[in-house]
Amino acid sequence: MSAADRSMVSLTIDGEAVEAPAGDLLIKAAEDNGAYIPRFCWHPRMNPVGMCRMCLVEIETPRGKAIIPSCMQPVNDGMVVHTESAAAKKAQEGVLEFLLLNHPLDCPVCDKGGECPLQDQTMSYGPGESRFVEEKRHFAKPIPISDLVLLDRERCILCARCTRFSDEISGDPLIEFHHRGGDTQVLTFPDEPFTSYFSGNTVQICPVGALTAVPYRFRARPWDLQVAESTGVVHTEGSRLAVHASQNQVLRFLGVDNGATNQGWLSDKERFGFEFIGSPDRLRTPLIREGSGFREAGWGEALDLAGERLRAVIAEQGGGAVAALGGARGTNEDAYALSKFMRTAADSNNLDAQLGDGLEARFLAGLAGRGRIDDLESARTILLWGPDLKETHPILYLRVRRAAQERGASLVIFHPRRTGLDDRAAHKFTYLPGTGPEVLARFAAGEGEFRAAREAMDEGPLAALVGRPGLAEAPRLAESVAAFARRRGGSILPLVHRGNTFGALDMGAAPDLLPGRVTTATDGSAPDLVAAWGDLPVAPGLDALGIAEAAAAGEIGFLILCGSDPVRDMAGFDGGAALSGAGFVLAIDLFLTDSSRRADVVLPALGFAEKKGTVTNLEGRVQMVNRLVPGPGQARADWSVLDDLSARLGRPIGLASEEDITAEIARVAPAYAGVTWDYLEWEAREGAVVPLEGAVQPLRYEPQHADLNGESVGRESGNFSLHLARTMYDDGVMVRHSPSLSRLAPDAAAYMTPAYAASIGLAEGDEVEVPLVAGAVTLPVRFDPTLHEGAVYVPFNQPGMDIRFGVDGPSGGVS
Amino acid sequence: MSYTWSSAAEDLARRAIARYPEPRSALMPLLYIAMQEDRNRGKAHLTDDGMRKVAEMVGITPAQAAAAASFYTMYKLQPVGRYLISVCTSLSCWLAGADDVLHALEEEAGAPSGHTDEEGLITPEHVECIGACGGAPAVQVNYEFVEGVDPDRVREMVRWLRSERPECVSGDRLQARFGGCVSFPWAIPDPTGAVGPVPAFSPLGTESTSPNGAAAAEAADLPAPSPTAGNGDIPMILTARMNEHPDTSHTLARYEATGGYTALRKVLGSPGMAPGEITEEIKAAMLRGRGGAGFPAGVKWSFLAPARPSYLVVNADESEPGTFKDRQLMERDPHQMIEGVIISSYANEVHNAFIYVRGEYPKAARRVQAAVEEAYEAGYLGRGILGSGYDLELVVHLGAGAYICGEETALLASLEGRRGEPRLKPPYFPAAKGLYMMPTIVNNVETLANVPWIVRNGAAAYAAIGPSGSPGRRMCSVSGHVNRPGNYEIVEGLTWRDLIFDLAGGIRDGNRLKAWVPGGASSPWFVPEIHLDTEVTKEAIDGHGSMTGSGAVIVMDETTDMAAAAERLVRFFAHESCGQCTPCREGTTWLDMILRRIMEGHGRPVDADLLLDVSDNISPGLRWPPAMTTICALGPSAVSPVVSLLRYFRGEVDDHVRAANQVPVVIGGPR
Repeated sequence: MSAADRSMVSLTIDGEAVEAPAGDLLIKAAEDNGAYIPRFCWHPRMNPVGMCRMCLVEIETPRGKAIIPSCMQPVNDGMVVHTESAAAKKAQEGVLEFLLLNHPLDCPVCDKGGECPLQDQTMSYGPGESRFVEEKRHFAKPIPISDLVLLDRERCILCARCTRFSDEISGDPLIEFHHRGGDTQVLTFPDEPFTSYFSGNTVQICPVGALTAVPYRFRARPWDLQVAESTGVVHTEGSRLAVHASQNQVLRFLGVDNGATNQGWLSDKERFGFEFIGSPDRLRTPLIREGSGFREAGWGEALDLAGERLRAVIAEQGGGAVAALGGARGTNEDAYALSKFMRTAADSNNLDAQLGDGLEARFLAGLAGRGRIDDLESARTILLWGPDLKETHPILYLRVRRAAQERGASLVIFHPRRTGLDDRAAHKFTYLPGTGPEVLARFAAGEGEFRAAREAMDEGPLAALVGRPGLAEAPRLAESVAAFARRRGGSILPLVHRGNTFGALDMGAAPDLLPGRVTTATDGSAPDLVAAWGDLPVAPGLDALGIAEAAAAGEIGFLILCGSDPVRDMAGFDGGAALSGAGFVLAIDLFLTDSSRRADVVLPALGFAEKKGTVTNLEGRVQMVNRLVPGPGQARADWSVLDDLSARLGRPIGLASEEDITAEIARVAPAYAGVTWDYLEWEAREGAVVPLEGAVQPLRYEPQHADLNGESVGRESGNFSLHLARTMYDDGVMVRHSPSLSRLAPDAAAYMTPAYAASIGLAEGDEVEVPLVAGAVTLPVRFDPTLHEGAVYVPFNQPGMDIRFGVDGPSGGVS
Repeated sequence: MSYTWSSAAEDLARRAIARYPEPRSALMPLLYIAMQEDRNRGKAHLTDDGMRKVAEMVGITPAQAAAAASFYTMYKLQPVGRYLISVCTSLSCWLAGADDVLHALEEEAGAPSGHTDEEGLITPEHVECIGACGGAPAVQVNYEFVEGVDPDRVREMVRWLRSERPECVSGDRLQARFGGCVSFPWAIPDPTGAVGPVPAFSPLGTESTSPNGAAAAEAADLPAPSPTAGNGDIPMILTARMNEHPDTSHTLARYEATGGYTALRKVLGSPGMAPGEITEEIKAAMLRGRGGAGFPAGVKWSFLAPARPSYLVVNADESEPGTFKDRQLMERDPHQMIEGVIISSYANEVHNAFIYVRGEYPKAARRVQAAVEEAYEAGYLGRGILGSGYDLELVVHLGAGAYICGEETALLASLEGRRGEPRLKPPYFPAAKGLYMMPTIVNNVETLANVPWIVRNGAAAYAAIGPSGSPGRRMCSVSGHVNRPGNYEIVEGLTWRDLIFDLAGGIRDGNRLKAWVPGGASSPWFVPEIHLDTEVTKEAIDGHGSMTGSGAVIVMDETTDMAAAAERLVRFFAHESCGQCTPCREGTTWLDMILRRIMEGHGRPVDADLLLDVSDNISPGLRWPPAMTTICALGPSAVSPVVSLLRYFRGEVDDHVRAANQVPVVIGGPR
């Protein structure tokens, strides 16, 4: 319920008559009306507990004045509150004195110094000196409670923000209060570190320096930091964050509270992934292949070479021999440039922002009934049929957890093994990968075990989160699930990987899409686009798998990789074979990846925090990303590289600046009409969900139920069903170059139930050969009793899994 | 995973989990079972493996299990010997020389408090009040009481344990050999005892029978029981049965033979009583809660929110220093309370009730458990009670050493398998958001023990007893420097002089009365100059700025160092603070540090005012009933003795400060 829906009550705070929405807590109502009440334990995104007692105020009651914690008291009509009366001030001073008794006051060497609520509030509300002459508490300091977080119990004021966050918000209660009274301390269990994907949030919300982050510890003082607000592109939810840098080095990200999306929280991957920006391995100059290696080159030489080859390919083989993969890791402006370059300069529709691991592009871009993340707040029923959100969509994971736990939504999950949300699920169905279509049919019919869950589907509002539970499963299954939910009026949240996939598709980074949610068969629905771009390629394009197959067959003369790494990241085809078969490979990248390492020319690109522009999240919410630091060496933005390259072809795409590109998008891409920097920076505080009022979206894609029985692969004797799924940490480029994260990947293994392992004569630790598209990979057997019997779970792209891999279907044989 | 339990332990654990509506509630019994299993595996403490196993069984993380385990003192995370000897050093026992007992024990055992002798046999420890204040100084061996000890007898006991090495520690046996004066007559022989430093309680598998019937034989040597006395001519209500039938009052047969369960038959029979009628009856009787707050029980019931299921929890976590009355009521007449529980549950539409017995009362828990089993057998509990359509399941839950769990919201948190941290009221009033956030009635043992009498005899008869504001008889635990400590069943209206000098036999050795605690450790003190001839009524006590509280009276004579007495009480509260809210966690500890520093000869002239101002930051205005900056009343309770000390005996504090060596303050000391 938003504030506007609630009735207002009148109360008096410090002599001023004010109004506040009924049900608001006094501490918030006071703050909204200009009376800041000091606090430590209260956090607007967590349930109040009234523990630290810092927010004590005086209220007038029929039985006289009373001292109460304002974080536990809802506002009442006629309430009279004193936040600065003598009694209130004495209580506040008293609490601060108590908190400081055992606080070490080591502010000069504390990371929090300068941005510390305890320090600030002591200045504002505290006593001038201590009356405590006894010995303070002593603890060993600091102690690591995970690979990312250190705990200093001497500084801790026991506000329980961290323990409550991990219990209430993230659902990993791995840190807790231990002992009691004056001995109370926050601790983890021995040998069970605080391995939460969200641990960094506890560092951010710690009101003292008790929890510090390994990647930031002793790196800077807050007053030396420059800050820019931006939008995370690690995940598709579009988390708002603040980039902090000093001396042109990005030193940390902090979560920013965008109520519509991340509500202040960040995954650790997003938060600590800043490390790759300053990696010494970043590309600094263009590289040109020379024998088995590269030589450094100037931009002119590298672009001349690439332009010459591209011109030749187009002249000799036509635009159909040019292809591009990527665009989902950058800005909309970069993706727009790629799309425009391909269509107008290269005369080709062969481009794809996904790598065969996602869903139908038209479904993602044009989805009718696409929901908002906030739909989860009001949903009575939530259907989740897709990846384990905790691994791939951490913010949605938090929002769904909140919906089920705090808002009472009934959660129904379909997945081949346990997921992070099982403990909040009303119904959880574990099924064999590949049998999804049959399971959906039985579920839709409400048969047997599915009856109660099926009935819940008619308890609206319904929100459905749909995606591929594993990379081995048919993408069309997600669309069938969406079609099922749509028939019940459900709003759909599509689940795919790579942070700006939605932005890239909206910019036309798909064979059958053009910018602004228009199909290549424009039918006159995008006249401004046609006018601006001129003649468009006529031949239908290839998607990522098509491009890879064509390249492997020698049909692609020029392949552009825009921050994509098909060798490690492509599902369904051997990316290595594609690169070997392509005539010439141009990579625009941050690093030499397993893919760009095989290119003919590698151009250094600007990355996150080095360029400005817009990105679009899974809801279609457009938000700004910002520049705070220069890139390494001679790195340039993708759009400007493509602009130069187009000039060398004699077909300039005519892009001049990031802001101009955004303006051009707003002009030519129908669904993005009105989305300018001015609008985003000044009017759309929570971002702009496109299309804006008055704009049109030509493509409206109604999800269809597909008969997938033909695609459903039955299980034969001795064969298994493969569940190949992404994990939060893997051997992706960003994680690999973020030292704090790279060691957190779970490692390559084949998981199966003990019973299944026994049935095929395997024990834990044995080696098993698992055949994948690019060849067999040998993996150690591990047990996972939560898997469906007969399924084998292989985490995707793990360190040590050096074979190229991909997968074409959910079954295989064990040898 | 090489760590496994015996099938017996697995079975006990599964049965424990099945007893509760939610598995996590079985955390506390399972931690005991784990500790016992760990001992059977040669580990002298609750191991990480044990906690991990328990966590898995009840569906929480090991960190959550350890968070709870480390909150309670009876889960030993450090190694403990075969015999854990706990010396109470709280106020009543301290007044009777408990410190000397502790020193003698440490010396004889050859290990300081909290440590174990070289052999791994004996672990001395000092503990806060164990509810044996009338038999002070008291100790427990593996939680079996030995009351009225002295330093020599404790030394003797250590030597005996070393030579005898009994498999089963029987309280009766130890009391007969090494004990002296008791809090109340034990009367009923108890053949069972503990097999390790874990409370002996059959649902935990920790109970054992003393071999050769020796316990029974020795129990016969116990002094002949004397009746519980009271004032006035009105017949006893709570202790009548045990007075008349001292050695059988705990049995169902005796209970039924003396009018037991007729009130329940009246309620569930024909025409019977509607739930609301019972509540009205209890309201009309003006039965006040006997746990401390004195809130009318019937009114409390009428606040029960309409959501269901509702729960009833008996607060048998008696641990206010000076109080030992519920222990007597449970050990000697458990059915009286149980009948009250059944009637009260029916009145509040409850189908799952719990009796939360403090961990240090295993004997009371055993008696209650046996009585509950008898009641199930006889059809007073379970499905279709007495042929009616009414069902009630009743579970005896053993605490694990935390005074704060006597606070009702902390008790509920504890019963949910969490740390015993109080919840803020509002919004967490048990009647609205209690156990599992559902409407819950929490009543004290003695309160519920009154219910059958009221239902049988009518509210009017009850209301007619004693003063109209707080009628009926109530238990009063008298301890300290009196000639006849013990429990008294009084009708309010007598004077303090009557209570201390007549009933309790006056001050020992003919000494002068200096002060007394009128209603448990939390209550502001009374002094003879002002209060001796005032009435013992709720109204009068409240009027003089103190409270009836738990009915515990601790009497101090002229030899008492009042600063030291106050420090004992503050030490108690600092030890028992749950630690979640700042003023209590830091404030009680600080108050105790200042008082100890004064006692150790490092007092400063500013300290008395500092004590008062720190107190004022915990309990603004220093009045009673208290205002508080804390979540619950524990903080103000710790302030109460400090304020009493400085109100009546500030001169003694000044004397300590004047006598202090004038060396600059020596900071600190081991915490």
